[in-house]
Amino acid sequence: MKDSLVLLSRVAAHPDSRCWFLAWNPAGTLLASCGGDRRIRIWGTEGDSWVCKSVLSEGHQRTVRKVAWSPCGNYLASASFDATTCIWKKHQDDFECVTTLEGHENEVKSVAWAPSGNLLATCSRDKSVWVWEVDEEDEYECVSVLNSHTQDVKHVVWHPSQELLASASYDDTVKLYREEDDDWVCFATLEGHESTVWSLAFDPSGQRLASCSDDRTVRIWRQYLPGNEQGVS
Amino acid sequence: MVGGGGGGVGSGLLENANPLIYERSGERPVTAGEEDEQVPDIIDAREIFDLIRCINDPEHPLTLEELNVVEQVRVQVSDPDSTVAVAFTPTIPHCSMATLIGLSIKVKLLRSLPQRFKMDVHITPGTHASEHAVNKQLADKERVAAALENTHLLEVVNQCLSARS
Repeated sequence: MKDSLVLLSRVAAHPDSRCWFLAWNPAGTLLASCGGDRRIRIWGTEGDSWVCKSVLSEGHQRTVRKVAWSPCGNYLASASFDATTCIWKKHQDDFECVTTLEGHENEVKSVAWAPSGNLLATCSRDKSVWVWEVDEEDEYECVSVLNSHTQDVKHVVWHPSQELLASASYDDTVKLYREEDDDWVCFATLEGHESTVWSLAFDPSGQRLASCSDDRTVRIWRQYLPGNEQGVS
Repeated sequence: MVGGGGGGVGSGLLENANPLIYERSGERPVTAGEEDEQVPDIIDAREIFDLIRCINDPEHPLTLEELNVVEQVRVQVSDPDSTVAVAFTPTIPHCSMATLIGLSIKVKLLRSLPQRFKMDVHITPGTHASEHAVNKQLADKERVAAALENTHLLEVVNQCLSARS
């Protein structure tokens, strides 16, 4: 039997604008979407149909580019072209913006929570990657500003089990970071892509990292043994 | 994001004070097939060219057609594949308006063509000192979207796209 995808539902999510990103919550019961209308929408099922449970407006002044759920599923982070990142706390069906992270000089392109739930990373067109620590009182503090990339940083992602961060950039490289002697440092640069690297994903074991690029390839990198396989996208 | 973009409009010294001016093409002859409402219009190079030829140059009171920045022969379109490629030729190799001109062409196409179209706007190879950098910005959908949220830049682009009286 041939594997195939069956369309279950189609919703007009962000009126007159682009829907830029989607994220499932850890439990798989809610879908968060964000878009050019500056809003975030939370979708859930009611019977067989997908309905909008919540609209998060008043958070951002410009396009919301990405959203990310915390590992516990109680928080949602949103990265926006307005140069800020909002942290939303879930109270049943409602969300409240508990804090706004500022500091990037221009558009924030991505945000990601570390599996531990204590660290957050953001990246921006200002070429930097910021690492934030969050404590039990929901206080956020920037613990590092990493300026390794030479161009717009498009995406950040955490390793599934180690405190290791990866970033993808318009400078055609992927960079890896970890904490060494209380300081975050870039310890590796993956070169090979011939154009902007748009996104990254670790496999569940963390042994392989997949990257995709404007050069129309997907490359798979193995930890400590640089290597790649090219697939035509 | 746009290198030297907004500054040139209306300011003192023009970069290219004596550009070559080209003749405008005549109006497109209407065929019987096009008159017939039943036959769907296939988008062709002439139609794309008609969309972009009257875009104003940011510096001179002339259109991109009159400056030969755009030419029909440098437009490639495939309606069945939903692709359009436009190569534009800046008047001089160090033209600081190149990104702005490319962006104006892109915006005009985005506003005029059906959503299914993939648009490639790039500099005619060999005609600009920073063509790789300009082409890369124009090809970056995220950068273009962010730039168009800049009200000042959007105003300048809209001025280029407005019909001259």
